Amino acid sequence: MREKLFARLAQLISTRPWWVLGACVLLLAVSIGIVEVRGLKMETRILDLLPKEDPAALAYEDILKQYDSASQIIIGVEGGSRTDKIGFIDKVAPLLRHVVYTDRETGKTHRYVKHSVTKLDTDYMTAHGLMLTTRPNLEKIETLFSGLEMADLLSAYNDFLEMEYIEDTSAVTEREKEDGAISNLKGIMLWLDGVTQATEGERATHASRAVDAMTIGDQYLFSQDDGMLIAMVVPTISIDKMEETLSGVESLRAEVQKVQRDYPQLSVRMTGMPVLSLEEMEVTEKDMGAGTLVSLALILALFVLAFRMWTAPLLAIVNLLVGIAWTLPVIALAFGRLNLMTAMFAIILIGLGIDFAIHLNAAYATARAQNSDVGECIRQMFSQAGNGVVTGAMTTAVAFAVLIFTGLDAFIELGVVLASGIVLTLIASMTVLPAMYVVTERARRRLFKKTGATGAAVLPIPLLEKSGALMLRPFLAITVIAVTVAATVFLGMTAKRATFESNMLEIEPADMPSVLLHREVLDKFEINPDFAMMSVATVDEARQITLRMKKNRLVGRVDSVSEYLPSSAQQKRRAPVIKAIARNAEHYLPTGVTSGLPIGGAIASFPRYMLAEETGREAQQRIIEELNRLNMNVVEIGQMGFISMKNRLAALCTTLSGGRDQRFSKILALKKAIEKDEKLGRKIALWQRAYIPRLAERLQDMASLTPLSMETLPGHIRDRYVSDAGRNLVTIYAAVDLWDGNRMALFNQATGHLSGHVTGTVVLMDRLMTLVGSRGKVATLLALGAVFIILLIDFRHIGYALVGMLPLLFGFVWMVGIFTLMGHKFDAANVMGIPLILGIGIDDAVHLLHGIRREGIARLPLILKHTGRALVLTSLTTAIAFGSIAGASHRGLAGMGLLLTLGVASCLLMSILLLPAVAALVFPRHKNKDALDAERSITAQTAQTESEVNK
Amino acid sequence: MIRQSTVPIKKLALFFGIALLLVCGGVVAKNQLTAAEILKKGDDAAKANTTKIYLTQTVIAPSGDTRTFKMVSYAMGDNEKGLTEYLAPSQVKGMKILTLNSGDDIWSYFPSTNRVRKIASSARNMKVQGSDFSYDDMAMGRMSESWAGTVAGDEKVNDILCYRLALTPTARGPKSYGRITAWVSKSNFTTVRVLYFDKFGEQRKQLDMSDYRDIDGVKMPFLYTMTSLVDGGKTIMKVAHAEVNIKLSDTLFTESELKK
Repeated sequence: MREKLFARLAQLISTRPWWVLGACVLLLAVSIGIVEVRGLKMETRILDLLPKEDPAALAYEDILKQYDSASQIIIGVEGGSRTDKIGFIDKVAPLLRHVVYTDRETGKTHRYVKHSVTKLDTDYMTAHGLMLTTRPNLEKIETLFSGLEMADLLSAYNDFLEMEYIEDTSAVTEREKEDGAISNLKGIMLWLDGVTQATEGERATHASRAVDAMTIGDQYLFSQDDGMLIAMVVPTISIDKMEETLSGVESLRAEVQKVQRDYPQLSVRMTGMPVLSLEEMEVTEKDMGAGTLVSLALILALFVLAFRMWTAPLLAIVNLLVGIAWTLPVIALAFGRLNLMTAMFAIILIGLGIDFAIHLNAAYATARAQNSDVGECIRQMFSQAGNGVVTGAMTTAVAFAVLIFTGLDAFIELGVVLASGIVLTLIASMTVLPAMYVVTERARRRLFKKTGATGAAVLPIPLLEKSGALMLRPFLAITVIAVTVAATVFLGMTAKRATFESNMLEIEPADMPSVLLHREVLDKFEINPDFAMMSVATVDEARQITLRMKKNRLVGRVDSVSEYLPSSAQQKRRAPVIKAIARNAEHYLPTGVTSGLPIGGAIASFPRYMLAEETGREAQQRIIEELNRLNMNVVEIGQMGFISMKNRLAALCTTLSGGRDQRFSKILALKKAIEKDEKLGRKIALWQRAYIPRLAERLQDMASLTPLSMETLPGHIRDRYVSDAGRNLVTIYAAVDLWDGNRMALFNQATGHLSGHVTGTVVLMDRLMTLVGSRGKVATLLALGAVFIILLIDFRHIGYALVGMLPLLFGFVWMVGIFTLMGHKFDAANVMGIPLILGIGIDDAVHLLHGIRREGIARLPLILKHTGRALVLTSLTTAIAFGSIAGASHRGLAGMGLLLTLGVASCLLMSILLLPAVAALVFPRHKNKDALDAERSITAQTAQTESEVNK
Repeated sequence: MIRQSTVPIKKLALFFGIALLLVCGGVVAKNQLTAAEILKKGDDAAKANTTKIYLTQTVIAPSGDTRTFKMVSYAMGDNEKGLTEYLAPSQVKGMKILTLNSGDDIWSYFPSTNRVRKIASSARNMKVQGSDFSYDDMAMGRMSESWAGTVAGDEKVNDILCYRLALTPTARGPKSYGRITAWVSKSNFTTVRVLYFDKFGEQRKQLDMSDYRDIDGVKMPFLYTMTSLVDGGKTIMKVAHAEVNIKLSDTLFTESELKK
């Protein structure tokens, strides 16, 4: 049946090649028309790979709809002084307005930065800071600020530290309290420094800074040691608009670099998904660019060397392009888009489709070497290689087609696209490619007046023929099988140790700036730059979630509108304490100033500290004693921090107290300086006059009792958290690395009980990886089953089908074993190579088995000589293509390159060693008439060819 | 005669039959231990008047950071009094924690400042110095006095056939948990696993105890693993050396003794 079809096809192609090529062109025109009419979009969103009904995907879509953006960029500044870093970020802040992205469709530019946080919004905090504080904390503040003179305040601070952080062991184990302890200690130190550091001219500025630090904390987002300053930038567009995002990030990077020229002492980097995507693309382009050029040159050289034909690679490429072009309308009609996975279909088709051309070309070149009749050569080509190519293509196509049954959209699309692509490339290879051979041959005859056989042949590999002869000796075949099985058992044991790298950042280039900054931000701020989000209906819901998530050690920070909006019940409970704090602060401000009255002039009552020229000895002594106590408290808090693994707090306490070596204590150094200062009383008095009124005023300012509601909330805050539809955005920053699959699983577990669905880029990635992992296993098993059934149908012989599976199964074990032995892990990138190996691995076996079936096992040397040679060539081209990316700096790409190179080599080795050895033992050595005729013919042809080649 | 004699024999047989059933039933009923009895047997197997244990505590934070401490721990009267001293690393060497009245009163001693601080009573249900154990867990005395409940079935845990007990805290028991499920070995009444639930019925953490050894007639686990089911944090305590029923002075468990 198949032979008849091949004969008719050969007849048609050799007599009417232009009809075939005309039909091909017609089909191409129709293809272009369909793609034009139907449209074919590139949708490279992770979201598009997930099932439509996936809760995380739905929640992500909803957030994009409600709040426009779902990503963030972090700018990290290091080096120089604190002032340098502040100067830099203050200069960058206004320039963020000029950052634009270019719309892919219209070409117009639009603003890229929706909003940014370069420093905290202190206006709202200054006005309502106390109302935003919990009642228990307000009570502590009331006690703390009951006396504002230095001795009283320092004593109260010590009481506060002891009660809050030493006697309550939970304090330092909770993240929010750790942050509070760090902020408090930094504030206290800045305030204490005022006594000796601030000179006359700077005293007011220093007092303002100290009061800010003591009441609202640091305005800038500094790390605990002030070594790194970060700013956050939220884009106007979502990362799924990839091209726009990349242009926006490039524009942002240009603005940042412009400012950096004025601050050469600073190191500035950016991270976050948009930056990661841009840098990843740049690295990949660089890796792929060089790799592609090298591999193309090598493959071209191999073709010319192997087939002695300059036209062979050209025709093979044209054939592949035709196959790809015919596939496009199928994709357009079926899905109307290419997704993140199917976008690679052309590369995969080239990888697999080139093998069809090599097998056919090898057979055609062999025939053409002895035969001048092109039609006969085409017939022989189909006869020799047609069955193998068709079966090989069908097994691969079916292996991909079964992905439809996984139920995962990403796999379904990949399956349909690749299965149809392979079938269409096969059709092109069986029609267009031979037609081009005929046309080329006619052109050659007309141009060069050559009509005879080419005499050229495929490059011989004598070792293959010899190995075939050796395999026919049972003892050697058994030895080969035994050695192979032993090696496979060893590699199988190694393969069992294979692990999966669940941290996606581990597959990125190790020195990519965004990856490095990501890790440093996580380390210094204990906050993951890639966050998770939820959209909830009410502020109360947002409040409950915020409260609950803050208690979890997996969480670094929770951001929601509820942080700015206490409930009315909470506001009512807080009001009396706030009033008391304000009343107390009032005592420290001059009262009764009635300047301008006609009688009596100004009448004012000034608090004691304002009138004192210097503080008394007793107060000085108390301050010195309290500094001792402060040092002890800081030592103890540091120890608690160390035990509780609060590294940032422990490090700060060591810096301030000197840890176990008090010689390095900043607090004791201050104490010593104060003790020695003869003008201490006067200095304290001056310092008190500088900071107390500011502190008292600040406390009064912060004590506003104006009811807080959504209506009174400033627009820029409301816009950040509340959608037009009135829904509330809760952003959860993990304290752990969410790219690590194990941590992500815990994070998912921790957020699983919440009322809404947690989403975010990392969450989606995790969902996808989980689904790909579970469905991928099903897909692999289905593909193996399907391949076996195809072999069974093709050969109608269980023995052939079973032997056909051997190279793939053994090669797979070898691939995984050697990969693991080399110390590599599987990851999200390199597992994509597994379906390719299924396709490639089975092809080699199919071609050899067809040869054995056609010629009989006794002709194994000849089969290996001809078919084996084609297998070596196909494997070499594939290995060159994949091997060229094995040295990529992108670790995911490099891993995939190495894995596939190993896979191709292993499957080839199993096909030319194990399969012939097993076949020689299990298949009978009878020769049918056809086989004998064919043997005579091939032997004669080969002898002639080789003598010509040798000449 | 025959007739007359058969009736009493039948009656006698019936009587013995019923008696046998009752006895057997009683035996069966007696074999079905109650939760209280199981807990009591466990307590008896682990009963020690005093203990002195050298142990290594490894805390694995949710972020994956790991810190290992070496310590010596003394206890007296079913954990009514306890004293733990850190031996390593150097940053915390000499730090002590004293618990009295089954954890109602807790003191910390800091050698670097030579100060003793009383820990707030609210800390009972808080984590002990960053570990996944709470003071409540550490001070837990006799299980049979702290917990009461029912036998919910049999189950294998770590290949050990166990009673699965559903327990709630007694009036003397810890206040920080709503309930627990405990798995107690059927063969030797050692507790193999405890699953803690909060007052809202959500799982909070899991304690696994293994490597039970007989120390002078007292069964003691040499490996404790407490896993937080909320954030994945883990604390592993490995006993290096244990002594039981040794002479410990009452003064060891006093605030003034901490500074010595």
